[in-house]
Amino acid sequence: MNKTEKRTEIRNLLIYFAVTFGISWGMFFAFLLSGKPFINDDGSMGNMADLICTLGMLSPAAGVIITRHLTKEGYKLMGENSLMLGIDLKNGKIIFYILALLLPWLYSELGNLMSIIIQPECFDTEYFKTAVDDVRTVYFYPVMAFVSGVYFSFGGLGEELGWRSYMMPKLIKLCGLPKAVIIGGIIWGIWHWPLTYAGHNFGTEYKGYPFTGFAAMAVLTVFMGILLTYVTIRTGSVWPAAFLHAVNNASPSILQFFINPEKISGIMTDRIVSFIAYSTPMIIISIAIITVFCIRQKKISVSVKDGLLT
Amino acid sequence: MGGLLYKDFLSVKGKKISLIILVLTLVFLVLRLLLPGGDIDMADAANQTDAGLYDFFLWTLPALFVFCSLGLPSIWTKSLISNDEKSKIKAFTKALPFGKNTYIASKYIFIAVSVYILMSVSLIWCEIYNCNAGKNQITDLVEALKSFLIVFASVSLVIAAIELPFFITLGTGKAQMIKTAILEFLFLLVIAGLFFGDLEKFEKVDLVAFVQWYKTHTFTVNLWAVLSPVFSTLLFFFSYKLTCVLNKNREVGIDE
Repeated sequence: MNKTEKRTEIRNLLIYFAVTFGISWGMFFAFLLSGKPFINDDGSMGNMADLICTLGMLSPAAGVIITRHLTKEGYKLMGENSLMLGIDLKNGKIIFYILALLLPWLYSELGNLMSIIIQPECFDTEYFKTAVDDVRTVYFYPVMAFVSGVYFSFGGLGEELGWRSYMMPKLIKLCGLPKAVIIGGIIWGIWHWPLTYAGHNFGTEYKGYPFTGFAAMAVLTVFMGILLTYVTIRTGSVWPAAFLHAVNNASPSILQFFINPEKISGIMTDRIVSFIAYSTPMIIISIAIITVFCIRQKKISVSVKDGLLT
Repeated sequence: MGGLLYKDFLSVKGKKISLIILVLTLVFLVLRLLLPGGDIDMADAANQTDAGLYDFFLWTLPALFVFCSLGLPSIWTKSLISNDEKSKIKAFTKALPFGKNTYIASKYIFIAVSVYILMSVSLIWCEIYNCNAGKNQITDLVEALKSFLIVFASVSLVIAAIELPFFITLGTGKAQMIKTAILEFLFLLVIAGLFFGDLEKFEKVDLVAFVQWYKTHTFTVNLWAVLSPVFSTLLFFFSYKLTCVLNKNREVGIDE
């Protein structure tokens, strides 16, 4: 990549960040200033917060559309510098689509298992009877998450169109894969900060609020970003990342219905600590993947140079 | 394929429709923010407030949007094929570097993407309604509507899966005739029902009772939400395969 190309990519990225952060942070701060509760008294997300999150998730896609219009990059569906909206299941790529659905289930079950191992008292075989309206729902909960993950993936798609199909290829071109996933993950984490401040994911009652929450969000997005970038690169499509994102947001774990929050005590009551425990398996899986990435870095860089990410 | 999808997008006046949907969504958002709902009992007619009336008025908008969205792909099926027939695009597609099956697939993909987008926008409309709604039965009803969105989208896919083989294989002239005949038959059935049926049961239709049923049958609702998309997607895929087989040895879509 020569200097002019580099400058163009940086300029395009900066335009994308300005537009995306402008739209979404504008909405997030308007919500914060409105004084509406993010979390209801019963712990559920407020209705206005729900809408803000949904619209916020679509703003990276809006950012890409506006940026591509401003920079005249066009709206190619597939190939180099495209929206990566094509779906190709051939050459074993279907495995990554299946992986995108199953991976969040795997690491969320392992994450809950980790929480139970750290604090066995919270494991309650009767809790699921009170946690859901109908106990039968518990057993096919992951399937529900898969189906809604695919059909209601527009939120995930909105974010992934921005972060994975636009930002990551440019960052990879600019600074190589390992640095790109870290920088991209941190930027993605920072984008969430107004919501983290409002109480998204961790609430507001934890030690070091809101700064530990900001740090935890950045850690989460760096490691989640690795998984999402991995499936995007391997398939050349943003769809598996959208599915993975949506299934992850649907928390497809059965074990969560066997963890009684009232029995959690000590350090695990701090949402940041319990989050780190829960996220450990996902972090381990991500580290394993980034290691493979680093080993294959040379091969991937060549593919990027050739104009194809796959 | 991207080009074919874009052509289909233009042939159903996609740009105009997208703009209309965007403007309507923004208008609905503004209306919802200006007219906040209230925590009241809708069954208690004596104690209605303006806030309750706002909820009652506004809930009809997402409901209307959902049902219009349900019908749009079916309306587009005809436009997709008839525009191709009018512009004699088959001769052109023959010269393109892809097969007949790609052309057929583009029609199916276009409808599937349309259903996906319309369902997503419908969900946003439900969330816009909820964002400033009060705690009352109407809000519960919108929650129920939200839960059934996936079922409605499945119905939309099933209708398209039935219509597309007819339209692609027989051409719009014959297919539209068959569609009209079926719709007229259904319409006659409705009329017959109105003349000779038991109309008293319509008096018993109670949305509050439906909401109660929805709240106590979460498993059934969830089961429908899981099974209906699986079933409709499979049917949609088989419909595509059937259309490919039916058109294997003939010119696709030429009005005979």
